[in-house]
Amino acid sequence: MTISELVAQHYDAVYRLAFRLAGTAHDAEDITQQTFLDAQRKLETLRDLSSAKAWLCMIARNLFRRKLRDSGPSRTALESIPEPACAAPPEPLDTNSLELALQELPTEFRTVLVYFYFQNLSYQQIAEELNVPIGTVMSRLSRGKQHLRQRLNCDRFEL
Amino acid sequence: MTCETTLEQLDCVRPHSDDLALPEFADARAHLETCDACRFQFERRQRIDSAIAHVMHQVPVPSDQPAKLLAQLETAQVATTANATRPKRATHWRAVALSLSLALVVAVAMWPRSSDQLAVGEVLDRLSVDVTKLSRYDGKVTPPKPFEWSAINVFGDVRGQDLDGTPGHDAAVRLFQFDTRRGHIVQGLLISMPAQRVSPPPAASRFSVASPRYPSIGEQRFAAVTWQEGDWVYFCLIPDNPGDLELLQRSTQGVAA
Repeated sequence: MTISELVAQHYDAVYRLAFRLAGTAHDAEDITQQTFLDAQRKLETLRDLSSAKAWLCMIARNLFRRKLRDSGPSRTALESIPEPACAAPPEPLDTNSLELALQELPTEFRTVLVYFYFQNLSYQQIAEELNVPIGTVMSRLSRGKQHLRQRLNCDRFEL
Repeated sequence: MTCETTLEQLDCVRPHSDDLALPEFADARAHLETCDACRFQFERRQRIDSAIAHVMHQVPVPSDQPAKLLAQLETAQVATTANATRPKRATHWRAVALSLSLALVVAVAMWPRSSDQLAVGEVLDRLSVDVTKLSRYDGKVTPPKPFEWSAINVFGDVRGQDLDGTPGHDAAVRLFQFDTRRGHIVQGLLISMPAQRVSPPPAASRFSVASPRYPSIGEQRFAAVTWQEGDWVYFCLIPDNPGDLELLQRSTQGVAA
């Protein structure tokens, strides 16, 4: 498979992951570009074409983590995010609401949620990938999901 | 196990998966079998998770980006064609010359063969030869690596160029490569000339502080700097991207030999 074919087949998936991790279109484009540049250099290491998407996503996740490391640790605590002043009327669950809710989260919580929801990684896989204790991942998942449920008013939904 | 801790633990169960069957969730499973409220909440949260996962994927992708990326990949591929294999192979020389489309001539007479002197601008103006046609450098002294270039890989055979029509090579030409932390590769040419052949000498005495210029050589633009260290004058040429030269200069600041 050529790099052009990889771009044609998987650009959207990689960009979407990068966007959810990084939170901005600019950073998503940067990560996506670098992902495919790295992939081009390492193309001969891709043996199983059926795993191309997973391979590219892994490169993207690694690049995001490196970017985080270079920018220094996040200082925002989940508790510092203010509660809404009053209960908002129930809104349909849409991408804008989700985006706002995700952007409120500290990076370490958002990353765990993106890995869970977007990449469908198990909590053990997330712990291994982020090199944090399993208990930390479980805590961040639980608290992060609680935050999303509150922000998205999911308790008011009939799902 | 309390309802609160059960539901917290079950937040780790992926929707539409077999996670709940894992051994670590045995206590939570047992609790669900006896607690209708928690079973209701768990099933509801699984549906919420499915909805969130679905919306999570709804990211609009800029339509022009893939085409831009392909152009960048092609440029990168052209610039690193010779790096598809190990850079020390002899074939790297031909591949780099083809991919970079360089045409170089460096007017240098090795001491004591000639006393002709050239200005820096004249040297750059005379660059017009295909690197692949250069033979192995036959000068008496191989130019040393520049002072700040310890982290830059100057590789391959030292090639030579006759520029004044007299027997023997007048200049040494080498390829270099620098791998940045982000995986970006900078490649270019390092040309070395005896200092007495260049007049007036370059103002800079170190690579990292040399001022860039942008000559056109053949049909290609380059970013170039010139500096003198001891008995040698060096020319560093990088095709196309002035940013790469700036990056390289920043990377070498403060580097000891």
